[in-house]
Amino acid sequence: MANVFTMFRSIRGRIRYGSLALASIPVILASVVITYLALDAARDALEERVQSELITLRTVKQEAIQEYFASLKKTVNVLARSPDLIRSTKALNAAYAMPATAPGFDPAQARERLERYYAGDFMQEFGRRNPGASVDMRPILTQLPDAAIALQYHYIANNINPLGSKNKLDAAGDGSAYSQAHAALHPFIRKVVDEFGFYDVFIADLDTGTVVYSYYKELDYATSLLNGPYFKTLLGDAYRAARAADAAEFFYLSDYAPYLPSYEDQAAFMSTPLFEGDKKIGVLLVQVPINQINKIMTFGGDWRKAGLGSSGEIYLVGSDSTPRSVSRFLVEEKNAYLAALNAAGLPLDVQKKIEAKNSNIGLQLIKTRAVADAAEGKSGYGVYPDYRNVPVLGAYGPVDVLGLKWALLAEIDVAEAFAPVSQVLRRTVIALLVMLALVLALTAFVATLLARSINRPIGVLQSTVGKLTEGDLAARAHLPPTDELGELGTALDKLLDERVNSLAQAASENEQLNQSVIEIMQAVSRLSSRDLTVKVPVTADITGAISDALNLMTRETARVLRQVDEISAKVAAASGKVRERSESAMAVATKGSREIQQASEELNQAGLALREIAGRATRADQVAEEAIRSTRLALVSVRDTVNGISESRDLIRETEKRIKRLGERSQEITSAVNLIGSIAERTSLLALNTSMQAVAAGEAGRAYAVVADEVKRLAEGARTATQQISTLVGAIQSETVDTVEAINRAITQIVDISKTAERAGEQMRSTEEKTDLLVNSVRDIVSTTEVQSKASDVLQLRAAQIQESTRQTTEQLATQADETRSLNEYASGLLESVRVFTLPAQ
Amino acid sequence: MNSSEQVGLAGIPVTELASPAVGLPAETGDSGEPRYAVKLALPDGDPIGLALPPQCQTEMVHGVSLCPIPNAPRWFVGMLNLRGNLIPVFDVMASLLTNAPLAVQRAVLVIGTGDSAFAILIPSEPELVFLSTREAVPENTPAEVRVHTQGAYRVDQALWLEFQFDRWIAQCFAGATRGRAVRRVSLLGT
Repeated sequence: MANVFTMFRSIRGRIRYGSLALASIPVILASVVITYLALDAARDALEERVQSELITLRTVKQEAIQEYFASLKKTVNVLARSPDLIRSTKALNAAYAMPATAPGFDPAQARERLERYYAGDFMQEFGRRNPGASVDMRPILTQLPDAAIALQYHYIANNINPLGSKNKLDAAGDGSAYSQAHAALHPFIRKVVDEFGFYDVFIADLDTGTVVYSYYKELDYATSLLNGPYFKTLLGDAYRAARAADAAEFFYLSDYAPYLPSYEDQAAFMSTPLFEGDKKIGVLLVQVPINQINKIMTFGGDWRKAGLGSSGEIYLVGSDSTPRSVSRFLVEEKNAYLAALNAAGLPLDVQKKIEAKNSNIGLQLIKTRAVADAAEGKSGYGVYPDYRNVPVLGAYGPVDVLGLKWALLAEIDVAEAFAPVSQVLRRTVIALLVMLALVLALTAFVATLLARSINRPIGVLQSTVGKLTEGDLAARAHLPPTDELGELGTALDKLLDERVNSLAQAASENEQLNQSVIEIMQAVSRLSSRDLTVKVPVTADITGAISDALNLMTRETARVLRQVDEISAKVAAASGKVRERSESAMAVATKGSREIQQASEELNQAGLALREIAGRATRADQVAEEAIRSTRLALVSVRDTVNGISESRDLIRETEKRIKRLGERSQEITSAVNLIGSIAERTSLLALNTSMQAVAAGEAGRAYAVVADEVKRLAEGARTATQQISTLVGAIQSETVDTVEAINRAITQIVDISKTAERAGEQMRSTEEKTDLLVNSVRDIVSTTEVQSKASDVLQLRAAQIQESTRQTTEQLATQADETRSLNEYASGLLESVRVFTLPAQ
Repeated sequence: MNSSEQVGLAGIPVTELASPAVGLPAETGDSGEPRYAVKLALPDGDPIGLALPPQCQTEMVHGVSLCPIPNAPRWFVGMLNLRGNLIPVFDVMASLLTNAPLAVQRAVLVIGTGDSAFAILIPSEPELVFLSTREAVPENTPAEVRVHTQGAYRVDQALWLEFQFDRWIAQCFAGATRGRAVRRVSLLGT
């Protein structure tokens, strides 16, 4: 079996054994189906034919047995009207008691002789026919009257003819009238018995019931059927029936039953009254010959000639379910039949009786379905187990034998009936096997040719594939395209050519892809070292999008950083200018302060001079002139101071404007930095999604995961730098706001100082006017010296205030200069932070 | 770097390129299966880590605009228009735990592609974790989450649950009938 499966693993085996299977399976299936149908039809036809034959035989035998018994009846009736029989009956009736009274007859001796006969010949035959059975004949013998003893003695015990041939004695040698009458009748009866095959013929006396004549001289001879030992037998029944009849046509037939005088063999009796004229003188009884019935039912022992084969038979069954005709199997196969009975469970004593009597009539109980149906008056046909428990085809039906309800069965064994079917089956199987062998041989030859024609190109293909497997890419099948396998070989060659080209192209593309990845990695490495001049080559493969995205991000980042750099440079330049302006303002303020100091001192001196005027009235004009000049100088100084303060205020306002513009520029930086942060955020998200896709792709996405992570790292670096720039810009904006506020405070101070200086100028102009008045009215100087002295004090106080304001302005300017320096340092720091990146040239 | 160490792209050592911190784990390593996972917040504020389904395409989207669905369950946050594809957005914790407040974040994680895609609200970016030995789900895990979980992984004291998103979706829509297209009708005429 394993070899078969191994063979089916190859195409050669599949073709060879598949072809065999394809050729043989339909043949087998068709043969089986046809055989089955043919056999089934043949079986039906056979059964129909057998059924017809059995029914025909049953009908024929029913008629035959009925005709036979009808002829028996006629014969008996005709015999009963025989004048010889009537005459002899009268003579026998009159003389049957005479032998017992004849001279020289010793009843005791006769009884003794009979007793020996009973115990000897009779019992010996009885024992032979009834193995294991015994019967006590002495009571029978004892109750016999002397007349019966005398007749049995003369015609049975003393009959020299052996048992079974006692009928050969025509007359006893006693010379009695009875013997004379017997001698007159006996040859006639012999002819009748020989002619009609009767078993026995009896004549019974009407008054005493004594059997005055018996042809075969069995032990019922000379006994009374009214009160004798066989009163309760079928013979007695038959006698009493005829004795009671009033018509000469009366006929009585008893059924079969064991009968002791016939050694308990089955016996049936016919009877009819004997009339002499209208006077009934006796009863004629005939023991029905069982052999005639058997002869009818067994076709004279030649069942085969009747078409019943070796197992067919026809038999009668009585109302007691025992046969009324002998079994064929008992006749032909006694041992097998007895074995079958034994197997069927028949009692052993019955089996022994059947064996001893060579007859199963009245002994074997037959309770088959057919017997039961027939006993109910049904006719039919069927398949059923017979009394041997062997399946038979049987036709059965009731048969009315002169009032007896018997069953007649025609049966044949199923095995024999359908033997032709089995024979046809054997022949069909042989023919099928021969045909199958021929088909297999032819199919094997064709399958071998077919397998060879297919396997050769397959082998070439296998060899080609094997070479390819070993690395020989130049291997080709080179099969001629004459059939499908040839076309397959050609297609394989073409496929291999294309595949080799595709492999080369794929290797080239893979190399190109690797090169692209290497270039991206190199670019990313340079980006990591903050070189934004790198340009990742954009290729047509799948890395092109990544390269393009990297280039876009790098370009945008560089552009923004360049803007930051430019803005930072402008901030640094503006801060330098602001510092210079602050230093100039400080210088002017210092100068103003010195001049104010000088004016204050001069005012002090003017005050001293006024006091000296008051003290020195004589030099009032000189002092007044000197005061006028000093006042005018002070007025010039104050005006210069006011002008310087105004210039400082303008410078500070210009500085404020520039710082405000710097704040606005820094807000632009914030927008650009936010844009960078947004790009970095989106790049980070893109890298995260790419990494998730790469993880989902498994091993295939490993390279992209590395690239995605590098991109994410770069984006996070950009985001961190952006946050630092935002922090720096925030600090710049905060410092700018503080600076603007400081400048505003300085401007406020300067305005206050300017107003103070202007008021000082007004005071000085008033002093000049008053000095002029003093010059013009020297004489009024003395009187107004006190006023002048107070005005001088006021001027000193104002000069002190101006000096204090100037000092504060100087301090504010110094603070502004420091803050401007810090702003310049922040701008420088911003420049240093931005210039960490290597930017591409404009 | 010693002389035997291989040099990778741009001078970066291969070991660094292939390290778990950079990308997928080294082929010879046994640090486990690389998976992305998200951390969601339980009603009491404790985080709970859910491993995303393996070999399933996922995409994180920031700053999305969701279109709410009238009469939908509260955990059915709305629909997301992702490059022309309508994707339903769910709140996982709100769907499982009735006392869970609705998440307020607007970052969503799209799971799957095509008609079977759906999205969940996430408070932070997914993390790359390496899952090795599966263990039983801890008893303190909420029962509503545990019924959809087929094991857990412990990575550096952090617990990641093998959450069955497909079973969760099936339970969310158990008993729901399939929708039908409604014919568009205008008061000005069809």
